[in-house]
Amino acid sequence: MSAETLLFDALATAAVFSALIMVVVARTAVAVATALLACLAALSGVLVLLGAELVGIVQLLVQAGAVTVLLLMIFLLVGAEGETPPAIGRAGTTLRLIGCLAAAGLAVAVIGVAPVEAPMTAALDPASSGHRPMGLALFRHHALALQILSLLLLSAVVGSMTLALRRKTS
Amino acid sequence: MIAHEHVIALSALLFATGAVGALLRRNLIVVLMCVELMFAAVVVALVGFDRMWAVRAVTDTVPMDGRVFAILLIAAVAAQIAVGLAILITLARNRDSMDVEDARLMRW
Repeated sequence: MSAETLLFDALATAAVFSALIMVVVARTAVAVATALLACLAALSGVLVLLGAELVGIVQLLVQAGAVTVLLLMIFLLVGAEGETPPAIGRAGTTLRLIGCLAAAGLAVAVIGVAPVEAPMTAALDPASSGHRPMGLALFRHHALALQILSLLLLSAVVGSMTLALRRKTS
Repeated sequence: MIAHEHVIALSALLFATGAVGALLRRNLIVVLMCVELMFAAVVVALVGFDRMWAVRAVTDTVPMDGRVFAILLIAAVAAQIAVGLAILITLARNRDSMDVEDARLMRW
């Protein structure tokens, strides 16, 4: 058991644990957002451990940072009351736990059946990790996708402003 | 060495948990957050597969498709969540409720 494997196990357990807390146990929306933040931070650590440093940092900045904070700011606007009790009775948390266990069992069964044939990689190639090769690949080979995504982001900004703007009725 | 199956299993578990949360929670913002959890699981799977197939032929000119796709996916996720939240705000203003059962105009 190398340090890499141990660290991956710890981060993966933290991510799954906070995801389960977020889905099953958390009652208020702010608790769900905090658990999601913890899960995304653990996943960023997993990504950096897998050798994709730029992806991990970008996920920390964008998903864990910007999106979760944006979600928390939405609570300021629309209020963050908890959920109404489900119509089935007091079965909310139990139902979610059973659902999570069943879905997890299904997922692990599907993964276990599918054959994973891949060449064994000895170690990370130092020439392909880090931000410089990623930047070169992004701007040389995937420049078109980058530009299209910039257009998508621009239209999302304009669209969300149009939707959420409160018009003054005079 | 991190086993490839462990990375894929982690991604599958997180995706399943997010899917269950998106189906069974009753607050619209919480559903959106579970969808974001599913996206994060997909990013982990992409990077895991990219690491798995890291040994490639010498003639391959683009050796890091998975990681590049993951970065572009994170940007697309940010755009999607921004638009989804704008829709949510409009819905909450018009109906004054964040319950998932109150948005039922398209039910038969």
